[in-house]
Amino acid sequence: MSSSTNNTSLSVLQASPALIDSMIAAASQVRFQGTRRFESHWKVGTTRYDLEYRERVSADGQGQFTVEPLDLIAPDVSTGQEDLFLLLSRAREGFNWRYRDFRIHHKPTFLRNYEVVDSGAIVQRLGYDCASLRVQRRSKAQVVYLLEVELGTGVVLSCRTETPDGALLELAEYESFELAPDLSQVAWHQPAVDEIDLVDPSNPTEIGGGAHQPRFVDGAFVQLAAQKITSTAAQTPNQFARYVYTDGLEVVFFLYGGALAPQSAGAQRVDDVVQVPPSVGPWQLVVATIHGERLIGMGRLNHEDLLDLVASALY
Amino acid sequence: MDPERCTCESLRAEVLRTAILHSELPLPGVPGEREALSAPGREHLDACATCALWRRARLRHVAALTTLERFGAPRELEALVVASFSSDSRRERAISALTRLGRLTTPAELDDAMLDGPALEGSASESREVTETRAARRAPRVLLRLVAEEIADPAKARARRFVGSLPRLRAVPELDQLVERELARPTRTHSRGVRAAVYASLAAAVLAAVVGPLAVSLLGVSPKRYPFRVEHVRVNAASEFDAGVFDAGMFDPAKLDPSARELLDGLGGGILGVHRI
Repeated sequence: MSSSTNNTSLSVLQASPALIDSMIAAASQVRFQGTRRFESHWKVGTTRYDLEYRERVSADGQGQFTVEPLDLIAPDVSTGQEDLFLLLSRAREGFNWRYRDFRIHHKPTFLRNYEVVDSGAIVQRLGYDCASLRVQRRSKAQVVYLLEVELGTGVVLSCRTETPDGALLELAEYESFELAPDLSQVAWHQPAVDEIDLVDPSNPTEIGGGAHQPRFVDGAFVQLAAQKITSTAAQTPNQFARYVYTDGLEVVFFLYGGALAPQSAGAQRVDDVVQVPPSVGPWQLVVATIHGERLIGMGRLNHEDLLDLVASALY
Repeated sequence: MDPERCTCESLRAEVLRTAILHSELPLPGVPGEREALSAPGREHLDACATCALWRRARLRHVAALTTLERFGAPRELEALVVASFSSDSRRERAISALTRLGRLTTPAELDDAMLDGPALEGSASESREVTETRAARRAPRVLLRLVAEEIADPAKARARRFVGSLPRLRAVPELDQLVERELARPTRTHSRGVRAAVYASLAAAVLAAVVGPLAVSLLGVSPKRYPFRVEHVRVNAASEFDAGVFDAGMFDPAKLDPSARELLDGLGGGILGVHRI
Protein backbone atom coordinates (compact mmCIF):
# COMPACT_ATOMS: atom_id res chain seq x y z
CA MET A 1 0.00 0.00 0.00
CA SER A 2 1.45 3.37 -1.01
CA SER A 3 2.02 6.18 1.43
CA SER A 4 -0.53 8.36 -0.33
CA THR A 5 -3.14 5.66 0.18
CA ASN A 6 -2.12 5.47 3.83
CA ASN A 7 -2.77 9.20 4.18
CA THR A 8 -6.16 8.83 2.51
CA SER A 9 -7.24 5.99 4.76
CA LEU A 10 -6.33 8.05 7.82
CA SER A 11 -7.91 11.26 6.58
CA VAL A 12 -11.19 10.93 8.50
CA LEU A 13 -10.01 11.65 12.02
CA GLN A 14 -11.88 13.11 14.91
CA ALA A 15 -10.14 16.16 16.26
CA SER A 16 -8.23 15.42 19.42
CA PRO A 17 -9.89 16.43 22.71
CA ALA A 18 -6.79 18.42 23.59
CA LEU A 19 -7.16 20.54 20.48
CA ILE A 20 -10.83 21.21 21.20
CA ASP A 21 -9.97 22.15 24.80
CA SER A 22 -7.33 24.57 23.57
CA MET A 23 -9.81 26.15 21.16
CA ILE A 24 -12.27 26.71 24.02
CA ALA A 25 -9.60 28.14 26.31
CA ALA A 26 -7.98 30.36 23.68
CA ALA A 27 -10.50 33.19 24.06
CA SER A 28 -9.59 33.71 27.71
CA GLN A 29 -6.07 32.38 28.02
CA VAL A 30 -4.10 33.42 24.94
CA ARG A 31 -2.51 36.84 24.64
CA PHE A 32 -2.47 37.86 21.01
CA GLN A 33 -3.22 40.57 18.49
CA GLY A 34 -3.88 40.39 14.78
CA THR A 35 -5.50 42.03 11.78
CA ARG A 36 -8.38 40.02 10.39
CA ARG A 37 -10.39 40.32 7.22
CA PHE A 38 -14.09 39.64 7.65
CA GLU A 39 -16.38 38.85 4.73
CA SER A 40 -20.09 38.19 4.78
CA HIS A 41 -22.16 37.11 1.76
CA TRP A 42 -25.88 36.74 2.30
CA LYS A 43 -28.85 36.16 0.08
CA VAL A 44 -32.21 37.57 1.04
CA GLY A 45 -34.74 36.32 -1.43
CA THR A 46 -33.16 37.11 -4.77
CA THR A 47 -31.09 40.01 -3.43
CA ARG A 48 -27.45 39.54 -2.60
CA TYR A 49 -25.75 41.40 0.26
CA ASP A 50 -21.97 41.54 0.49
CA LEU A 51 -19.78 43.02 3.18
CA GLU A 52 -16.02 43.02 3.59
CA TYR A 53 -13.92 44.93 6.08
CA ARG A 54 -10.80 44.67 8.23
CA GLU A 55 -10.66 44.62 11.99
CA ARG A 56 -7.99 44.37 14.64
CA VAL A 57 -8.57 41.73 17.28
CA SER A 58 -6.74 41.83 20.59
CA ALA A 59 -6.96 39.65 23.69
CA ASP A 60 -4.96 39.88 26.91
CA GLY A 61 -5.20 36.23 27.88
CA GLN A 62 -7.24 37.08 30.97
CA GLY A 63 -10.67 37.54 29.45
CA GLN A 64 -10.37 41.08 28.10
CA PHE A 65 -10.69 41.70 24.38
CA THR A 66 -11.34 44.23 21.65
CA VAL A 67 -12.59 43.88 18.10
CA GLU A 68 -11.79 47.19 16.43
CA PRO A 69 -12.94 47.74 12.83
CA LEU A 70 -10.25 49.40 10.71
CA ASP A 71 -11.55 49.99 7.21
CA LEU A 72 -14.47 49.06 5.00
CA ILE A 73 -13.52 47.27 1.79
CA ALA A 74 -16.95 46.51 0.31
CA PRO A 75 -19.50 47.89 -0.45
CA ASP A 76 -18.09 51.08 -1.84
CA VAL A 77 -19.48 53.99 0.21
CA SER A 78 -18.50 57.56 0.96
CA THR A 79 -15.97 58.42 3.65
CA GLY A 80 -18.67 59.66 5.98
CA GLN A 81 -20.69 56.50 5.52
CA GLU A 82 -17.62 54.39 6.14
CA ASP A 83 -16.84 56.25 9.37
CA LEU A 84 -20.40 55.71 10.54
CA PHE A 85 -20.21 52.03 9.72
CA LEU A 86 -16.94 51.64 11.61
CA LEU A 87 -18.40 53.43 14.60
CA LEU A 88 -21.47 51.18 14.64
CA SER A 89 -19.30 48.10 14.26
CA ARG A 90 -17.15 49.14 17.20
CA ALA A 91 -20.28 49.36 19.29
CA ARG A 92 -21.00 45.75 18.40
CA GLU A 93 -17.59 44.38 19.34
CA GLY A 94 -18.95 42.45 22.33
CA PHE A 95 -21.63 40.87 20.18
CA ASN A 96 -19.08 40.07 17.48
CA TRP A 97 -16.72 38.45 19.97
CA ARG A 98 -19.38 36.35 21.68
CA TYR A 99 -21.82 35.43 18.93
CA ARG A 100 -20.60 36.35 15.44
CA ASP A 101 -17.17 34.76 15.63
CA PHE A 102 -16.61 31.02 15.77
CA ARG A 103 -16.73 30.03 19.39
CA ILE A 104 -17.48 26.78 21.20
CA HIS A 105 -19.90 27.90 23.86
CA HIS A 106 -20.58 24.72 25.75
CA LYS A 107 -18.28 21.74 25.39
CA PRO A 108 -20.53 18.77 26.34
CA THR A 109 -23.37 19.99 24.15
CA PHE A 110 -20.95 20.75 21.35
CA LEU A 111 -19.46 17.26 21.43
CA ARG A 112 -22.94 15.76 21.46
CA ASN A 113 -24.25 17.79 18.54
CA TYR A 114 -21.23 18.29 16.32
CA GLU A 115 -18.69 16.31 14.40
CA VAL A 116 -15.18 17.73 14.17
CA VAL A 117 -13.09 16.08 11.50
CA ASP A 118 -9.36 16.67 11.36
CA SER A 119 -7.93 16.33 7.88
CA GLY A 120 -4.67 15.16 9.42
CA ALA A 121 -2.75 17.73 7.38
CA ILE A 122 -0.76 20.53 8.97
CA VAL A 123 -1.21 23.75 7.06
CA GLN A 124 0.83 26.90 7.33
CA ARG A 125 -0.82 30.23 7.95
CA LEU A 126 1.24 33.32 8.70
CA GLY A 127 4.13 31.09 9.64
CA TYR A 128 2.16 29.11 12.22
CA ASP A 129 1.41 25.39 12.07
CA CYS A 130 -2.33 24.87 11.96
CA ALA A 131 -4.68 21.94 12.06
CA SER A 132 -7.28 21.85 9.27
CA LEU A 133 -10.70 21.04 10.70
CA ARG A 134 -14.20 20.61 9.37
CA VAL A 135 -17.01 21.23 11.86
CA GLN A 136 -20.57 20.29 11.06
CA ARG A 137 -23.71 19.53 13.00
CA ARG A 138 -24.47 15.82 13.12
CA SER A 139 -28.04 16.37 11.92
CA LYS A 140 -29.90 19.14 10.08
CA ALA A 141 -26.69 21.05 9.43
CA GLN A 142 -27.42 24.51 8.05
CA VAL A 143 -23.78 25.57 7.80
CA VAL A 144 -20.34 23.97 7.64
CA TYR A 145 -17.23 25.46 9.25
CA LEU A 146 -13.78 24.99 7.75
CA LEU A 147 -11.15 26.02 10.26
CA GLU A 148 -7.41 26.48 10.46
CA VAL A 149 -6.50 26.30 14.14
CA GLU A 150 -3.09 27.29 15.44
CA LEU A 151 -1.76 24.15 17.05
CA GLY A 152 0.10 25.78 19.88
CA THR A 153 -2.67 27.99 21.23
CA GLY A 154 -5.98 26.85 19.72
CA VAL A 155 -6.67 30.25 18.17
CA VAL A 156 -8.74 30.01 15.00
CA LEU A 157 -6.67 31.80 12.38
CA SER A 158 -9.12 31.16 9.57
CA CYS A 159 -12.80 30.35 9.68
CA ARG A 160 -14.73 29.76 6.51
CA THR A 161 -18.49 29.32 6.89
CA GLU A 162 -20.28 27.65 4.02
CA THR A 163 -23.69 26.25 3.20
CA PRO A 164 -23.77 22.45 3.02
CA ASP A 165 -23.49 22.67 -0.76
CA GLY A 166 -20.36 24.82 -0.62
CA ALA A 167 -21.54 28.42 -1.07
CA LEU A 168 -19.46 30.87 0.96
CA LEU A 169 -21.41 32.66 3.68
CA GLU A 170 -18.69 34.16 5.82
CA LEU A 171 -14.94 34.31 6.03
CA ALA A 172 -12.85 35.49 8.99
CA GLU A 173 -9.17 35.18 8.22
CA TYR A 174 -6.16 36.70 9.96
CA GLU A 175 -3.81 38.63 7.72
CA SER A 176 -1.33 39.24 10.51
CA PHE A 177 -0.99 37.56 13.87
CA GLU A 178 1.32 38.00 16.84
CA LEU A 179 1.45 36.08 20.10
CA ALA A 180 2.19 37.87 23.39
CA PRO A 181 2.52 41.34 21.86
CA ASP A 182 2.65 44.68 23.63
CA LEU A 183 -0.99 45.53 24.39
CA SER A 184 -0.43 48.53 26.61
CA GLN A 185 -2.17 50.91 24.20
CA VAL A 186 -5.30 48.84 23.73
CA ALA A 187 -8.65 50.14 24.97
CA TRP A 188 -10.48 47.06 26.14
CA HIS A 189 -14.13 46.31 25.55
CA GLN A 190 -16.61 47.68 28.08
CA PRO A 191 -20.01 45.98 28.53
CA ALA A 192 -22.91 47.86 26.99
CA VAL A 193 -24.98 49.78 29.50
CA ASP A 194 -28.20 48.78 27.80
CA GLU A 195 -27.62 45.06 28.36
CA ILE A 196 -28.32 43.87 31.90
CA ASP A 197 -28.25 40.26 33.04
CA LEU A 198 -31.61 39.06 34.30
CA VAL A 199 -31.63 38.13 37.96
CA ASP A 200 -34.15 35.34 37.39
CA PRO A 201 -34.41 34.36 33.73
CA SER A 202 -37.62 32.43 34.34
CA ASN A 203 -39.28 35.53 35.81
CA PRO A 204 -37.80 38.65 34.23
CA THR A 205 -39.32 41.31 36.43
CA GLU A 206 -36.91 43.71 34.78
CA ILE A 207 -39.27 43.83 31.80
CA GLY A 208 -42.38 43.68 33.92
CA GLY A 209 -43.58 40.12 33.60
CA GLY A 210 -42.98 36.43 33.35
CA ALA A 211 -41.30 35.17 30.21
CA HIS A 212 -41.96 32.13 28.14
CA GLN A 213 -38.92 30.09 27.38
CA PRO A 214 -38.77 27.34 24.77
CA ARG A 215 -38.45 23.78 25.88
CA PHE A 216 -35.72 21.90 24.11
CA VAL A 217 -35.79 18.21 23.52
CA ASP A 218 -33.19 15.98 25.21
CA GLY A 219 -30.90 18.84 26.15
CA ALA A 220 -30.17 19.69 22.54
CA PHE A 221 -29.69 23.30 23.62
CA VAL A 222 -28.57 24.95 26.85
CA GLN A 223 -29.13 28.51 27.98
CA LEU A 224 -26.13 30.71 27.42
CA ALA A 225 -27.34 34.12 28.52
CA ALA A 226 -30.44 35.96 29.65
CA GLN A 227 -30.39 39.75 29.53
CA LYS A 228 -32.66 42.73 29.43
CA ILE A 229 -31.92 44.84 26.42
CA THR A 230 -33.27 48.21 25.48
CA SER A 231 -33.84 48.73 21.82
CA THR A 232 -32.76 52.01 20.27
CA ALA A 233 -35.61 51.83 17.78
CA ALA A 234 -38.85 53.68 18.40
CA GLN A 235 -41.18 50.81 18.95
CA THR A 236 -43.42 49.35 21.59
CA PRO A 237 -42.28 47.52 23.57
CA ASN A 238 -38.67 48.68 23.42
CA GLN A 239 -37.38 46.56 26.26
CA PHE A 240 -36.86 42.89 25.66
CA ALA A 241 -35.66 39.89 27.55
CA ARG A 242 -33.09 38.35 25.27
CA TYR A 243 -32.45 34.67 25.82
CA VAL A 244 -29.55 33.05 24.08
CA TYR A 245 -29.40 29.31 23.73
CA THR A 246 -26.65 27.25 22.23
CA ASP A 247 -26.29 23.76 20.86
CA GLY A 248 -22.64 24.03 21.77
CA LEU A 249 -21.69 26.17 18.78
CA GLU A 250 -24.70 27.75 17.09
CA VAL A 251 -26.85 30.20 18.96
CA VAL A 252 -30.60 30.67 18.97
CA PHE A 253 -32.05 33.93 20.13
CA PHE A 254 -35.40 34.51 21.70
CA LEU A 255 -36.52 38.05 22.30
CA TYR A 256 -39.45 38.17 24.65
CA GLY A 257 -41.15 41.51 24.61
CA GLY A 258 -43.85 41.06 27.20
CA ALA A 259 -47.32 42.51 26.77
CA LEU A 260 -47.90 44.74 23.81
CA ALA A 261 -49.34 48.21 24.19
CA PRO A 262 -53.16 48.26 24.17
CA GLN A 263 -54.44 48.60 20.67
CA SER A 264 -56.45 51.65 19.72
CA ALA A 265 -60.17 51.32 19.32
CA GLY A 266 -61.17 50.29 15.87
CA ALA A 267 -57.77 48.89 14.97
CA GLN A 268 -57.83 45.40 13.60
CA ARG A 269 -56.64 43.06 16.24
CA VAL A 270 -53.92 40.67 15.13
CA ASP A 271 -53.49 37.90 17.62
CA ASP A 272 -52.13 34.38 17.80
CA VAL A 273 -50.14 34.66 14.65
CA VAL A 274 -46.54 33.84 13.85
CA GLN A 275 -45.07 35.59 10.87
CA VAL A 276 -42.28 33.86 9.02
CA PRO A 277 -40.23 36.16 6.79
CA PRO A 278 -37.86 34.71 4.23
CA SER A 279 -34.49 33.66 5.55
CA VAL A 280 -31.89 36.38 5.88
CA GLY A 281 -28.67 34.78 4.79
CA PRO A 282 -28.37 31.60 6.85
CA TRP A 283 -30.70 32.94 9.57
CA GLN A 284 -34.32 31.96 10.00
CA LEU A 285 -36.62 34.30 11.80
CA VAL A 286 -40.11 34.12 13.29
CA VAL A 287 -42.08 36.99 14.79
CA ALA A 288 -44.91 35.83 17.05
CA THR A 289 -47.76 37.86 18.50
CA ILE A 290 -49.69 35.52 20.73
CA HIS A 291 -52.08 36.28 23.60
CA GLY A 292 -51.03 39.92 23.38
CA GLU A 293 -47.38 39.09 23.88
CA ARG A 294 -44.54 39.37 21.45
CA LEU A 295 -41.81 36.81 20.86
CA ILE A 296 -39.07 36.81 18.23
CA GLY A 297 -37.10 33.69 17.51
CA MET A 298 -33.98 33.58 15.41
CA GLY A 299 -31.44 30.92 14.60
CA ARG A 300 -29.65 28.91 11.98
CA LEU A 301 -32.39 26.33 12.04
CA ASN A 302 -34.98 25.44 9.49
CA HIS A 303 -38.15 27.40 10.03
CA GLU A 304 -40.16 24.39 11.19
CA ASP A 305 -37.75 23.76 14.07
CA LEU A 306 -38.04 27.42 14.99
CA LEU A 307 -41.83 27.24 14.94
CA ASP A 308 -41.66 24.17 17.18
CA LEU A 309 -39.59 26.14 19.68
CA VAL A 310 -42.08 29.01 19.64
CA ALA A 311 -44.93 26.59 20.19
CA SER A 312 -43.08 24.97 23.10
CA ALA A 313 -42.53 28.38 24.67
CA LEU A 314 -46.07 29.62 24.43
CA TYR A 315 -48.25 26.51 24.80
CA MET B 1 -14.22 -66.12 -7.66
CA ASP B 2 -14.19 -69.59 -9.11
CA PRO B 3 -10.55 -70.56 -9.34
CA GLU B 4 -11.17 -72.55 -12.48
CA ARG B 5 -12.61 -69.54 -14.22
CA CYS B 6 -10.10 -66.82 -13.22
CA THR B 7 -9.05 -65.60 -16.57
CA CYS B 8 -6.93 -62.62 -17.48
CA GLU B 9 -10.08 -60.66 -18.09
CA SER B 10 -11.62 -61.43 -14.75
CA LEU B 11 -8.38 -60.83 -12.94
CA ARG B 12 -7.98 -57.46 -14.55
CA ALA B 13 -11.54 -56.50 -13.67
CA GLU B 14 -10.91 -57.48 -10.09
CA VAL B 15 -7.72 -55.43 -9.97
CA LEU B 16 -9.48 -52.32 -11.22
CA ARG B 17 -12.47 -52.78 -8.99
CA THR B 18 -10.28 -53.23 -5.97
CA ALA B 19 -8.13 -50.25 -6.84
CA ILE B 20 -11.13 -47.99 -7.33
CA LEU B 21 -12.98 -49.09 -4.25
CA HIS B 22 -9.92 -49.04 -2.10
CA SER B 23 -7.98 -46.12 -3.41
CA GLU B 24 -6.08 -45.91 -0.17
CA LEU B 25 -4.26 -49.18 -0.95
CA PRO B 26 -0.55 -48.89 -1.32
CA LEU B 27 1.14 -49.16 -4.67
CA PRO B 28 1.99 -52.52 -6.21
CA GLY B 29 4.80 -54.30 -4.54
CA VAL B 30 4.13 -52.79 -1.17
CA PRO B 31 3.04 -55.28 1.47
CA GLY B 32 -0.74 -55.52 1.85
CA GLU B 33 -1.63 -54.83 -1.71
CA ARG B 34 -1.79 -58.44 -2.96
CA GLU B 35 -3.90 -59.48 0.01
CA ALA B 36 -6.70 -57.27 -1.25
CA LEU B 37 -7.15 -59.68 -4.18
CA SER B 38 -9.01 -62.99 -3.98
CA ALA B 39 -7.06 -66.28 -3.75
CA PRO B 40 -7.77 -67.30 -7.37
CA GLY B 41 -6.78 -63.88 -8.44
CA ARG B 42 -3.48 -64.17 -6.64
CA GLU B 43 -2.88 -67.59 -8.18
CA HIS B 44 -3.55 -66.26 -11.67
CA LEU B 45 -1.32 -63.30 -10.98
CA ASP B 46 1.51 -65.59 -10.03
CA ALA B 47 1.01 -67.64 -13.15
CA CYS B 48 0.43 -64.88 -15.74
CA ALA B 49 3.35 -62.55 -16.32
CA THR B 50 1.34 -60.40 -18.73
CA CYS B 51 -1.38 -59.79 -16.19
CA ALA B 52 1.20 -59.06 -13.55
CA LEU B 53 2.77 -56.39 -15.77
CA TRP B 54 -0.61 -54.97 -16.67
CA ARG B 55 -1.60 -54.82 -13.05
CA ARG B 56 1.43 -52.85 -11.99
CA ALA B 57 0.86 -50.29 -14.76
CA ARG B 58 -2.83 -49.84 -13.99
CA LEU B 59 -2.29 -49.49 -10.30
CA ARG B 60 0.23 -46.72 -10.95
CA HIS B 61 -2.35 -45.01 -13.15
CA VAL B 62 -4.97 -45.21 -10.41
CA ALA B 63 -2.54 -43.90 -7.81
CA ALA B 64 -1.56 -41.00 -10.03
CA LEU B 65 -5.15 -40.03 -10.69
CA THR B 66 -6.23 -40.32 -7.08
CA THR B 67 -3.37 -38.14 -5.89
CA LEU B 68 -4.13 -35.31 -8.31
CA GLU B 69 -4.82 -31.99 -6.62
CA ARG B 70 -8.51 -31.33 -6.22
CA PHE B 71 -9.81 -28.04 -7.46
CA GLY B 72 -12.63 -26.47 -5.56
CA ALA B 73 -15.57 -24.84 -7.25
CA PRO B 74 -15.14 -21.09 -7.67
CA ARG B 75 -16.71 -19.00 -4.93
CA GLU B 76 -18.96 -17.29 -7.40
CA LEU B 77 -20.63 -20.57 -8.19
CA GLU B 78 -22.33 -20.74 -4.83
CA ALA B 79 -23.66 -17.20 -5.16
CA LEU B 80 -24.84 -17.88 -8.69
CA VAL B 81 -26.61 -21.02 -7.61
CA VAL B 82 -28.38 -19.20 -4.81
CA ALA B 83 -29.27 -16.33 -7.14
CA SER B 84 -30.70 -18.71 -9.69
CA PHE B 85 -33.33 -19.74 -7.16
CA SER B 86 -34.45 -16.17 -6.56
CA SER B 87 -37.80 -15.11 -7.93
CA ASP B 88 -36.24 -12.47 -10.17
CA SER B 89 -33.91 -14.99 -11.71
CA ARG B 90 -36.68 -17.49 -12.27
CA ARG B 91 -38.80 -14.78 -13.84
CA GLU B 92 -35.98 -13.78 -16.14
CA ARG B 93 -35.47 -17.36 -17.22
CA ALA B 94 -39.20 -17.76 -17.83
CA ILE B 95 -39.33 -14.60 -19.91
CA SER B 96 -36.29 -15.69 -21.85
CA ALA B 97 -37.84 -19.08 -22.54
CA LEU B 98 -41.14 -17.58 -23.64
CA THR B 99 -39.55 -15.11 -26.01
CA ARG B 100 -37.60 -17.87 -27.63
CA LEU B 101 -40.77 -19.76 -28.38
CA GLY B 102 -41.76 -19.73 -31.97
CA ARG B 103 -44.70 -17.52 -32.85
CA LEU B 104 -47.72 -19.23 -34.24
CA THR B 105 -49.65 -17.49 -36.91
CA THR B 106 -53.39 -17.60 -36.72
CA PRO B 107 -54.95 -19.61 -39.44
CA ALA B 108 -56.95 -17.73 -42.00
CA GLU B 109 -60.00 -19.77 -41.06
CA LEU B 110 -60.06 -18.06 -37.66
CA ASP B 111 -60.46 -14.68 -39.24
CA ASP B 112 -63.23 -16.05 -41.40
CA ALA B 113 -64.98 -17.53 -38.40
CA MET B 114 -64.79 -14.23 -36.55
CA LEU B 115 -65.86 -12.01 -39.36
CA ASP B 116 -68.09 -14.47 -41.09
CA GLY B 117 -66.46 -13.63 -44.37
CA PRO B 118 -63.23 -13.61 -46.34
CA ALA B 119 -60.07 -12.81 -44.30
CA LEU B 120 -58.62 -10.35 -46.83
CA GLU B 121 -59.62 -6.78 -46.03
CA GLY B 122 -60.80 -4.63 -48.86
CA SER B 123 -61.36 -7.50 -51.16
CA ALA B 124 -64.12 -7.18 -53.64
CA SER B 125 -66.04 -10.03 -52.14
CA GLU B 126 -65.95 -8.58 -48.60
CA SER B 127 -69.46 -7.91 -47.40
CA ARG B 128 -70.58 -4.52 -46.24
CA GLU B 129 -71.34 -5.94 -42.85
CA VAL B 130 -67.82 -7.16 -42.50
CA THR B 131 -66.46 -3.80 -43.57
CA GLU B 132 -68.62 -1.97 -41.03
CA THR B 133 -67.62 -4.40 -38.34
CA ARG B 134 -63.98 -3.78 -39.13
CA ALA B 135 -64.49 -0.05 -38.92
CA ALA B 136 -66.24 -0.40 -35.60
CA ARG B 137 -63.27 -2.23 -34.19
CA ARG B 138 -60.86 0.65 -34.93
CA ALA B 139 -59.84 2.86 -32.06
CA PRO B 140 -62.18 5.80 -31.51
CA ARG B 141 -60.91 9.18 -32.67
CA VAL B 142 -61.08 10.58 -29.12
CA LEU B 143 -58.42 8.10 -28.13
CA LEU B 144 -56.13 9.49 -30.78
CA ARG B 145 -56.69 12.98 -29.41
CA LEU B 146 -56.03 11.88 -25.85
CA VAL B 147 -52.83 10.13 -26.82
CA ALA B 148 -51.69 13.19 -28.74
CA GLU B 149 -52.36 15.41 -25.70
CA GLU B 150 -50.45 13.03 -23.47
CA ILE B 151 -47.47 13.08 -25.77
CA ALA B 152 -47.55 16.86 -26.21
CA ASP B 153 -47.57 17.64 -22.48
CA PRO B 154 -47.08 14.60 -20.25
CA ALA B 155 -46.83 16.65 -17.03
CA LYS B 156 -50.17 18.34 -17.63
CA ALA B 157 -51.81 15.04 -18.41
CA ARG B 158 -50.47 13.50 -15.22
CA ALA B 159 -51.60 16.49 -13.18
CA ARG B 160 -55.09 16.19 -14.66
CA ARG B 161 -55.24 12.52 -13.79
CA PHE B 162 -53.96 13.21 -10.27
CA VAL B 163 -56.57 15.87 -9.62
CA GLY B 164 -59.25 13.61 -11.00
CA SER B 165 -58.31 10.90 -8.55
CA LEU B 166 -58.52 13.14 -5.51
CA PRO B 167 -61.33 12.19 -3.16
CA ARG B 168 -64.39 14.32 -3.57
CA LEU B 169 -65.28 16.31 -0.51
CA ARG B 170 -68.82 16.39 0.62
CA ALA B 171 -70.33 19.67 1.69
CA VAL B 172 -70.73 19.99 5.42
CA PRO B 173 -74.30 19.60 6.70
CA GLU B 174 -74.23 23.13 8.07
CA LEU B 175 -74.16 24.48 4.53
CA ASP B 176 -77.78 23.48 3.95
CA GLN B 177 -78.80 25.09 7.22
CA LEU B 178 -76.98 28.30 6.33
CA VAL B 179 -78.62 28.44 2.95
CA GLU B 180 -82.09 27.76 4.32
CA ARG B 181 -81.63 30.38 6.99
CA GLU B 182 -80.47 32.89 4.40
CA LEU B 183 -83.37 32.15 2.14
CA ALA B 184 -85.87 32.33 4.98
CA ARG B 185 -85.33 36.03 5.40
CA PRO B 186 -88.61 37.76 4.53
CA THR B 187 -87.02 40.71 2.66
CA ARG B 188 -85.32 38.58 0.05
CA THR B 189 -86.77 37.72 -3.34
CA HIS B 190 -86.06 34.06 -3.75
CA SER B 191 -85.46 33.96 -7.45
CA ARG B 192 -83.73 31.01 -8.86
CA GLY B 193 -80.67 33.07 -9.68
CA VAL B 194 -80.40 34.40 -6.13
CA ARG B 195 -80.64 30.90 -4.71
CA ALA B 196 -77.91 29.72 -7.03
CA ALA B 197 -75.67 32.65 -6.13
CA VAL B 198 -76.18 32.06 -2.42
CA TYR B 199 -75.37 28.38 -2.73
CA ALA B 200 -72.29 29.14 -4.83
CA SER B 201 -70.85 31.73 -2.45
CA LEU B 202 -71.41 29.66 0.66
CA ALA B 203 -70.07 26.56 -1.01
CA ALA B 204 -66.97 28.47 -2.08
CA ALA B 205 -66.37 29.61 1.49
CA VAL B 206 -66.73 26.11 2.88
CA LEU B 207 -64.60 24.66 0.10
CA ALA B 208 -61.80 27.13 0.80
CA ALA B 209 -61.82 26.24 4.47
CA VAL B 210 -61.59 22.55 3.67
CA VAL B 211 -59.24 22.59 0.68
CA GLY B 212 -57.06 25.43 1.92
CA PRO B 213 -54.93 23.30 4.23
CA LEU B 214 -54.53 20.72 1.47
CA ALA B 215 -53.34 23.38 -0.97
CA VAL B 216 -50.95 24.78 1.65
CA SER B 217 -49.47 21.37 2.21
CA LEU B 218 -49.08 20.81 -1.54
CA LEU B 219 -47.30 24.16 -1.86
CA GLY B 220 -44.98 23.03 0.91
CA VAL B 221 -45.41 26.28 2.81
CA SER B 222 -46.27 24.95 6.27
CA PRO B 223 -47.21 21.30 6.36
CA LYS B 224 -47.31 21.02 10.15
CA ARG B 225 -50.20 22.22 12.21
CA TYR B 226 -49.53 24.59 15.09
CA PRO B 227 -51.76 26.04 17.78
CA PHE B 228 -51.39 29.42 16.08
CA ARG B 229 -51.73 30.80 12.61
CA VAL B 230 -48.54 30.79 10.56
CA GLU B 231 -48.12 33.46 7.91
CA HIS B 232 -45.29 33.34 5.47
CA VAL B 233 -45.05 37.00 4.71
CA ARG B 234 -44.28 39.03 1.69
CA VAL B 235 -43.05 42.53 2.22
CA ASN B 236 -42.75 45.18 -0.45
CA ALA B 237 -41.66 48.76 -0.28
CA ALA B 238 -45.17 50.11 -0.42
CA SER B 239 -47.05 48.18 2.23
CA GLU B 240 -46.86 46.81 5.72
CA PHE B 241 -46.63 43.14 6.49
CA ASP B 242 -49.41 41.31 4.82
CA ALA B 243 -50.13 37.65 4.59
CA GLY B 244 -49.94 36.16 1.20
CA VAL B 245 -48.15 33.74 -0.98
CA PHE B 246 -44.49 33.47 -0.18
CA ASP B 247 -42.50 35.72 -2.51
CA ALA B 248 -38.88 35.89 -1.43
CA GLY B 249 -37.89 38.04 -4.35
CA MET B 250 -39.78 41.05 -3.00
CA PHE B 251 -38.54 40.86 0.57
CA ASP B 252 -36.95 43.96 2.10
CA PRO B 253 -35.20 43.39 5.45
CA ALA B 254 -35.79 47.04 6.29
CA LYS B 255 -39.39 46.13 7.01
CA LEU B 256 -38.46 43.60 9.64
CA ASP B 257 -39.20 44.13 13.30
CA PRO B 258 -36.55 46.66 14.42
CA SER B 259 -35.17 44.49 17.22
CA ALA B 260 -34.93 41.52 14.91
CA ARG B 261 -33.26 43.65 12.27
CA GLU B 262 -30.70 44.94 14.77
CA LEU B 263 -29.92 41.42 15.89
CA LEU B 264 -29.56 40.11 12.35
CA ASP B 265 -27.39 43.04 11.40
CA GLY B 266 -25.05 42.28 14.28
CA LEU B 267 -24.85 38.63 13.41
CA GLY B 268 -23.76 39.57 9.90
CA GLY B 269 -21.19 42.11 11.03
CA GLY B 270 -23.38 44.98 9.93
CA ILE B 271 -24.19 43.55 6.53
CA LEU B 272 -27.75 44.84 6.46
CA GLY B 273 -27.08 48.26 7.95
CA VAL B 274 -24.13 49.11 5.72
CA HIS B 275 -26.41 49.18 2.68
CA ARG B 276 -28.70 51.75 4.29
CA ILE B 277 -26.18 54.12 5.84
